[in-house]
Amino acid sequence: MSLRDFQRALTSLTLDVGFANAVYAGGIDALAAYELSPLEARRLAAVTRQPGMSLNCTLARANRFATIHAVFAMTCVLLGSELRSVLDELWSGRLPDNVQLQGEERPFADLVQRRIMAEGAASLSQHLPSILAYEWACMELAQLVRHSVHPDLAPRESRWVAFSSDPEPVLAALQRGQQPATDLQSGDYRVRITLIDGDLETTTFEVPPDMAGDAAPRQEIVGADAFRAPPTTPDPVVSK
Amino acid sequence: MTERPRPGVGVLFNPALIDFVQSHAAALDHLVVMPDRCWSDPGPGSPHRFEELPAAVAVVERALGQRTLAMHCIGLSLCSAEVFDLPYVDQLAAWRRRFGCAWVSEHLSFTRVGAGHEVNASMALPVPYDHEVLELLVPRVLEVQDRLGCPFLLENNVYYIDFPEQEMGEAEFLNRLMQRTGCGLLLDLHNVYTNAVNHGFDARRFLRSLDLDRVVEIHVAGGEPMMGFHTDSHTGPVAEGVWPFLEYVVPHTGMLRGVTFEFHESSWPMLHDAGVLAQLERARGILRDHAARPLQVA
Repeated sequence: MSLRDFQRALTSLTLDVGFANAVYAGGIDALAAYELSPLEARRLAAVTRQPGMSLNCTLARANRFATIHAVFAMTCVLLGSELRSVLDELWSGRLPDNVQLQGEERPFADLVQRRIMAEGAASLSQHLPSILAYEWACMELAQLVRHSVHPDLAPRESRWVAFSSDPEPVLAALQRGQQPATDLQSGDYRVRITLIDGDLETTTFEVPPDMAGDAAPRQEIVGADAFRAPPTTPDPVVSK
Repeated sequence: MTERPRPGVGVLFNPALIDFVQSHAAALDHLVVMPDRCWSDPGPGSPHRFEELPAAVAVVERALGQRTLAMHCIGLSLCSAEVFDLPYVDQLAAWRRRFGCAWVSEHLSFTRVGAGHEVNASMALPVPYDHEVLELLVPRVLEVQDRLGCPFLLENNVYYIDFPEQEMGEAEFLNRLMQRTGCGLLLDLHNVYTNAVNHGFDARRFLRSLDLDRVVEIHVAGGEPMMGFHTDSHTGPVAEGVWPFLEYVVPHTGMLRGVTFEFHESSWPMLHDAGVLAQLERARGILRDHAARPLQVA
């Protein structure tokens, strides 16, 4: 029992900076929830005072974040200084349960979506709903490739995402890790992401103002049923 | 007298190397794959363990017959007090048979706690070098070797924290474990370098105290500074300070099969084909110049 609890406590110290700080401040008493020998308790209290414990906590967070960043790199850029609080909230109620750190994507996307609904996209970034939906769509399509026996023969599928300004400069800036320019002209655009021969191809369409009402409302694409393709797609009017 | 295999050079496969492996087949004597990156594993209790990812498996299949294959695992968590994942071991054994892997390796660390509902530490954590841990590991290593049916290697750990009052030093612990189980050592020289830099010990003295006759594979890699530490991030080329250790170790090994360069795929823009080839060529040169021991063993 003792070694088991020692490892459980060390894991908690690694995943929970708050707990590590509590042991740092309170010493052995803060480890009372674990069945530890006096030596094990001394060891754990000692490591919380070592700089290496801070590095361990950072590396564990970095490893968890890597799985999120692999899918939502542009969303993370748009979140900017908000990203840390999003991750803190995400991980405060959630522990990784597998070696591949699978399963972080959906909770992350759900949480960002809730933040958008609660705070309004404008207070975070006007591009956030579109980029979140765009990256989710790319992930869905990429998974078709990943699990396909013949990636080049993966089913030809598409996803549509609505943008409220020209997607191309927005995507280009974010792919460089930069915030998009603030003076982009607003409009009604659709991006079609298509899986072709195992690769993702993106095409941008602009919907003229006089046809905007006929197109699928933006909320259907990135609203309550977020991250799903709309039931109907707009006719491409202007292809870029 | 039987002739033991002449040690060669290879890479730990990552997705950036898909084309490299095909284009530079002659530069690689062996290829090490991480099976955990070739399948999806939500963990014990899931009905969907070890679902293979066809694109990743295809890389392994293409390498078949061209060169020696070996597996390097990250998912067993052999040192977990409450987890000994025999279905995972059986999956490794099935892959070992299927792909004819020459050896299989794992880390001397733990990532998994919590029987029933597991928690993953998100990084490899060290264990104290105590008799209690040794007694935990000996029967497990014997069991794993028995199921695998091939040499099983344990890798010396990298650690950023240092437990006080340990009953043994790292070298003594490794030597005892190898002595009692017959397992081999995957000597990660960048881990030794990293630990020596961060904890201020003499790496050569550490290496001298290891039973180098048990070394089957050597890892070389690079790292980078972070928060006042040198980290084992596998960034870029091999750290310059690692090469002298390789020169020192190679003549003292008796079972060495290969030197493996490992790097993270995000470092590919720093390396490209030429950078990877340069690491392999340098390692090959050291093997050629320093493998002074006769290659005949009884």
